[in-house]
Amino acid sequence: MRYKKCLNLVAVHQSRRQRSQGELHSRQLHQRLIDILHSWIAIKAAKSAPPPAHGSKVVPDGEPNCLAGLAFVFTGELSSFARDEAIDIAKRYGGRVTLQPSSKTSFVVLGDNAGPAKLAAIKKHGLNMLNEDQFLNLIATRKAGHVDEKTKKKLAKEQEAIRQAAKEMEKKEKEDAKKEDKQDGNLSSQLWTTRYAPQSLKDVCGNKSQVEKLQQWLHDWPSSLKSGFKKPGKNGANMFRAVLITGSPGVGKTTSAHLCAKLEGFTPIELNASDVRSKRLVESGLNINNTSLDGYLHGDKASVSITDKSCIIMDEVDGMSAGDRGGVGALNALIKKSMIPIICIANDRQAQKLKPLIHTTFSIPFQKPPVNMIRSRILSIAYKEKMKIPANVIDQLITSAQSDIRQVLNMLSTWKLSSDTMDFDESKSLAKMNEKYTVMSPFDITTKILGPYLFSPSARESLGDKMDLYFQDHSFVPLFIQENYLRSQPARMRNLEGPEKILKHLELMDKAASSLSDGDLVDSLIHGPEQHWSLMPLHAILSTIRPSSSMYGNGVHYGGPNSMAFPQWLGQNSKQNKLMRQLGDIQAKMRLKVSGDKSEIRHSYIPAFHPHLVQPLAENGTTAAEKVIRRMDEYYLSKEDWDTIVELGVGDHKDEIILKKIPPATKTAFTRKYNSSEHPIAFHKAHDLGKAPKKIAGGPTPDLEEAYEVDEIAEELSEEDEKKEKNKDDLSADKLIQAPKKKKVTNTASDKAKNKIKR
Amino acid sequence: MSFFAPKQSNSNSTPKHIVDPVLQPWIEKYRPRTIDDVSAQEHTVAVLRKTLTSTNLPHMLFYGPPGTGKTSTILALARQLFGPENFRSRVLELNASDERGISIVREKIKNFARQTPRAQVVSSDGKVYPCPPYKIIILDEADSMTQDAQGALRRIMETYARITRFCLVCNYVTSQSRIIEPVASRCSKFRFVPLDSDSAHLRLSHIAAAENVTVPPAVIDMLIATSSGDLRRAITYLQSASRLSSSTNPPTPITPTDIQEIAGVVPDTVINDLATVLGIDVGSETAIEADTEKGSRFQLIRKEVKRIIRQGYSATQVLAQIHDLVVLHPTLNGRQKAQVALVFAEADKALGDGADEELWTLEVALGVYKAVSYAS
Amino acid sequence: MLWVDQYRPRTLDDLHYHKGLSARLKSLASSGDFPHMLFYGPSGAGKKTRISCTLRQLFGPGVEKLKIDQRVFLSPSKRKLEINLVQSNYHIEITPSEAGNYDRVVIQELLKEIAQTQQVDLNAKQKFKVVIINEADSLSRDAQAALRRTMEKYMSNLRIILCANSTSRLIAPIKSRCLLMRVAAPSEEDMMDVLQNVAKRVGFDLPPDAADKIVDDAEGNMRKAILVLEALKMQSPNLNGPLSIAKPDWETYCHKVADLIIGEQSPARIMEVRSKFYELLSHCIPPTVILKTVAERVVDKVDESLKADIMHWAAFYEVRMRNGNKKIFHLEAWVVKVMSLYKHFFYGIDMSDFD
Repeated sequence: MRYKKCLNLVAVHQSRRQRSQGELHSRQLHQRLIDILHSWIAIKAAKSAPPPAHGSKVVPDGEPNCLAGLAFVFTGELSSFARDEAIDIAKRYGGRVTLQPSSKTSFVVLGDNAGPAKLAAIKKHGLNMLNEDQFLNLIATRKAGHVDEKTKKKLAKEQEAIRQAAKEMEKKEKEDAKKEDKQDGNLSSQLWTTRYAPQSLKDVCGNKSQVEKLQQWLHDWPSSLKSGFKKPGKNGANMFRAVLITGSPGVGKTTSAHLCAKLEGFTPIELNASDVRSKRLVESGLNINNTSLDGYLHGDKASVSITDKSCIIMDEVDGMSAGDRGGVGALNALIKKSMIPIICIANDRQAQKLKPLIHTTFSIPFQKPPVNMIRSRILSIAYKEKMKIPANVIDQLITSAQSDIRQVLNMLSTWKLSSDTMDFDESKSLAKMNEKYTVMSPFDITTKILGPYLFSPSARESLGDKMDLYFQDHSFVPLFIQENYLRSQPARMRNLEGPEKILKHLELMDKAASSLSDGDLVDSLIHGPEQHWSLMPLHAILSTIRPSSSMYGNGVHYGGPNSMAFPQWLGQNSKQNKLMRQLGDIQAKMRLKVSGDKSEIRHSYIPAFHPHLVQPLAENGTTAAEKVIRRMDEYYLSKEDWDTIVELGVGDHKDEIILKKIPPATKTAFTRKYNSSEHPIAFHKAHDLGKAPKKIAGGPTPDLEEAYEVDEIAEELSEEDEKKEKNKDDLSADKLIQAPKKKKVTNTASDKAKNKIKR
Repeated sequence: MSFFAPKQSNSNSTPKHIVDPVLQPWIEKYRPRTIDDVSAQEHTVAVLRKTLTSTNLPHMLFYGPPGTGKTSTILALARQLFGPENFRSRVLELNASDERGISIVREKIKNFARQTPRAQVVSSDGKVYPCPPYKIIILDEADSMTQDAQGALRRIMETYARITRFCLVCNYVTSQSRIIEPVASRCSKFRFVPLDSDSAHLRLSHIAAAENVTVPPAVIDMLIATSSGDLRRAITYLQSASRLSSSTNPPTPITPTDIQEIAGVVPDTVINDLATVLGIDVGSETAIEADTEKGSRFQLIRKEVKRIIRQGYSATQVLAQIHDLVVLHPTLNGRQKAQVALVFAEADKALGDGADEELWTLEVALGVYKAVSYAS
Repeated sequence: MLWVDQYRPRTLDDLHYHKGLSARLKSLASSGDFPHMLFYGPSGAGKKTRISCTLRQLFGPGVEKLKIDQRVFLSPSKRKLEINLVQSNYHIEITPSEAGNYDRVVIQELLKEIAQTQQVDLNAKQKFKVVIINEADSLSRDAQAALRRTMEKYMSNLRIILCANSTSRLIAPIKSRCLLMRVAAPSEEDMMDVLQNVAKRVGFDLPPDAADKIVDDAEGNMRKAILVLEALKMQSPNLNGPLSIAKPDWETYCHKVADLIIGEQSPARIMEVRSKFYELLSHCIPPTVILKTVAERVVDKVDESLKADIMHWAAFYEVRMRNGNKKIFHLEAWVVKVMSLYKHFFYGIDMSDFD
């Protein structure tokens, strides 16, 4: 097809050239064109020799676990599978997949265009290399249980441990059941997440050292308190009256805090997002010196007596928002004086809101526990629940849930309702269903869209998947794409050289840029007066997907020479709006003397003012100030307007350059001089005079009388007059009414609060 | 305070809003009083005249280019049916500048439609009017109503057909038009044809005579040419011209050039100059040598375009006139004209969107040049 | 004051060129039958000057006592819209485009208000007031429709003078209700006259060469010509010898951009051009002006066979800038297109099938 098209092109070209014969120049040009085309065709042909074999190969049915004990590294682009698919295949058959080749890697599966760094590493470690077919062959032929003794033993040991753990759990459960028999009914009705919540520190997955730190701190609390928090202790924790535990959801922060507190003999009192925690409440509720904590402990919790051995757990500190104004500050004040330990828990340590706490609390960051740590725990639970789930399936679940134990347990408990077993593919789809809604930042999305894989021939993402990326943040993603689409090395020109490469690159950029331009037209329809929101998918395609489909390739990353940039458009746009407004001010003032509109002022007057208003100051210094001021007064310009005029310059007149030329002494003298004298003013700003703004009603009253029925209009007008008058009255009346109302509302609110406290 | 000093009181308000007859637009002043006065729409008038005697009127849809007398006809008809006294209570006219969203249809129009027509008032002028027992709602420029509003109209037209007749007035009723099919199918359609120059001539001379302005035939021809069958435009131009001429003392005679200037028409010489540069044969002797270098041709075209823009002529007008010139040109072939038409269409859209006049005039010029020079 | 403002003609008799137009305005103003008017023509041709001269003819010198008043409107979304009104006892001047999308409401409110107030000065020469609407061609369709009714309704005590650069964007009913006044840019001789006149009034001799040069540079924009004259006079007081007219800052900058485009065609260069465009846009240079200035410069420097195409794409993207939101997208698309065209030409590949 392509070839034919090219030949056509040559033919057309030939005939066209023949028409305008006699030009030697054109013939040479023609010859060159044909040469180029021929070479281009040759390259094309060579490239397309192995047809892009998307989905052409079938994955053989190997024995389960046939790849067990093997470690794989995938690099480069495989011809018939996307990278993710290949990785899935390896995992499905029990293989392990790592990202970087190392000495432990058993095989490297090599595709086209592998990165040079990886190739070097492969060479260094002397690893076995497979191509795609060999890899598939391996699956088809390798026998399961082809595992050496060592791994076998290890596996057996693991199994044993799991069984042991499950048994223990069961035992404990029974004990608990006996204890709580009368109160709670049977345990099986409990949520799994409650039932299998860690009962001891041993049960907490991961973060061992962090948990220990916490426990140590609580353990040392009495002595620290006695010493007045002077002794730093082993890790400096004992200087603080509070700790701040941070980490992503589901890693066991709250659980650990409760456990530690219990173990060290403290009675945990938990306040979480469901409690109101405004400044007032934190202050009065948690009575600062902790003599009486029952201020907030009303209702059902009142039975808990507060002793020295109490401990406050402030859960979800970063959730103190909106209604909880000043809460963090008050909490901070509380911490500074607290006589009992306070454990704060939050998700994001970097959050702006938590800034005050950073210096007053000891930080204990919780990491996401590695997969293998969770795996054993989940496996024991599964064993206990009599579910048959292989380890690699569990792994898959854990990774997809991003190490959120709670999530995995929830998934399993749901699955248990219908089936007791699960295989790899089922886990995959389950995980997909429960996919954590990961909010990707526009940076990540841009990296992904413009990156080399999303549009590669072997990629499996559907158009819908790609559009989902746009919809993650539909206002920012297009801006990011526009800002960064030029920064990649497009994959589509990879196999070209010389002029063809340059031309192809320009063509690709041209396609992308014109699609962006199309996208903006759609955008203006969406955000215009008519608001065609149904065009959003079209906008997704035009603004994001089409440009990227031309420009995808290596190169858009953080850092490096082609580092991704934040869209300039936002800043530039607001700057433009600001200057536009200031220019409008200048035009309004000059209007008494000048007839031009805003753009004429900018085009003609601003450059013309330069030698009168700015240059004298640069050349003659302070002596020129008076003259400049006189000139400004002629046009009613103020000092601020002078600044704007300077700021509006571009190129040689750019404000930075200009301002550098004016010595600071002159500048201050100029300002002082201007401020010391009186100046004519063209007009007062409306809001300075306190004029009441007129409301523009949503829809004006329709005029329905006929054009030539003139006599009626007079009446109608006066009617409208009245209406207007009325409206004005209404407005002022409203204002008066509203003001006291507001006060009342706040009163009642504070009353309520008071009442609450009293109780 | 100066400008916004409120009106003192209503007591001294002489009937302010009655337009001085001298200032009254001639198009209103000389609107046909009866349908027999309507120029050049013999067929329509003949049909409507019958309805006068039978007093049975269908829903109507008037369509045709602007200025052909659609609104005048229905107004004249209504006047003849109801007489001046009943006119007010029996006729509702809404046009494009009124709010005509769906809410207006639902409230205003529906309310008016369902009123039982008021009893006939004895007319003061002693004439007897047929005054049939229904009201008329005139929707002028109906194609600018929203689809929703038209949809709301459908049932109203049927439900109250006994006491209310609709007359929709619009420019086009082709399938692409914006009158929705269900509404169009409820109406009997009347086509208004562009005025032939004889009737226009007659009408204009009549007005000129009535207004006591001396208008040479050449001026009337120019009026007809610049207004392309739109009588309203022609009358407006004539009024402006007479205003200009009578403002001087002694009044200067009206010339065809005046009309061109008032109509914003680009003089033929300017258009011909441009056409010559573009390689269109306009029969002038200063035709540019065919073998001029292409490069200098670009500069030439650019210079010519700049000149026109500097003269302040509107780009749409230049476009329209070049269009007429090219499309009616005797020696250009169909292919060339078709190609040029594409350029014109695009430019017209762009200019409607407010594109830069100079760039797009240049674009049109280059496009025409390319098309014209293609075959030669 | 700058000369351009100091020596602005104040009466119709003072005007130097378009004598016929001035005479016509004068007779209309004194006839008592003053219609609504629409002044149109390129920037710097003297539309506003003519309007104010006409006003003076209508009302006498009192009309020159101007003051500015600011009105504040609240949009439905509670945003404050400030509208500046320039007014005398006899007339008022508004720029509805300041209100953006709400221009219709502002026009209706203001005009109604004005129409309901009487002429304060009982000795006024005319019993109507005049409303000047600037930038009429940027009025929204809605506002124009509203204006059309208003023009009919308040004809008895209100005259409207519209001022626009072109009539293409005005709806036909408005045009037909106004007397069209085309103000063409002055011819070269006209400009020469005006320049000499200004020089005479300032009190120096303007060598014809210098005047020639200024006229050449001004492209029919009288305002620009006089401003340049003054700048030149400051620069070299005797105006002899070789003169170099300093281009305005933004124009030089645009030319730089054009040179960048021709100098190299690469992604890095496009990004460089982009940042330059941002600089221009944020400093209030309208995107159309940027595109035109850059395009003209590029066209001057490339091979003949490319010129038409480059202008074609400039026109193509110019209208897109009007319709779109983010001007830079379209500017950049044009730049990439031009670079691609240029490079293809450079390597000798015909691009006529390329779009």
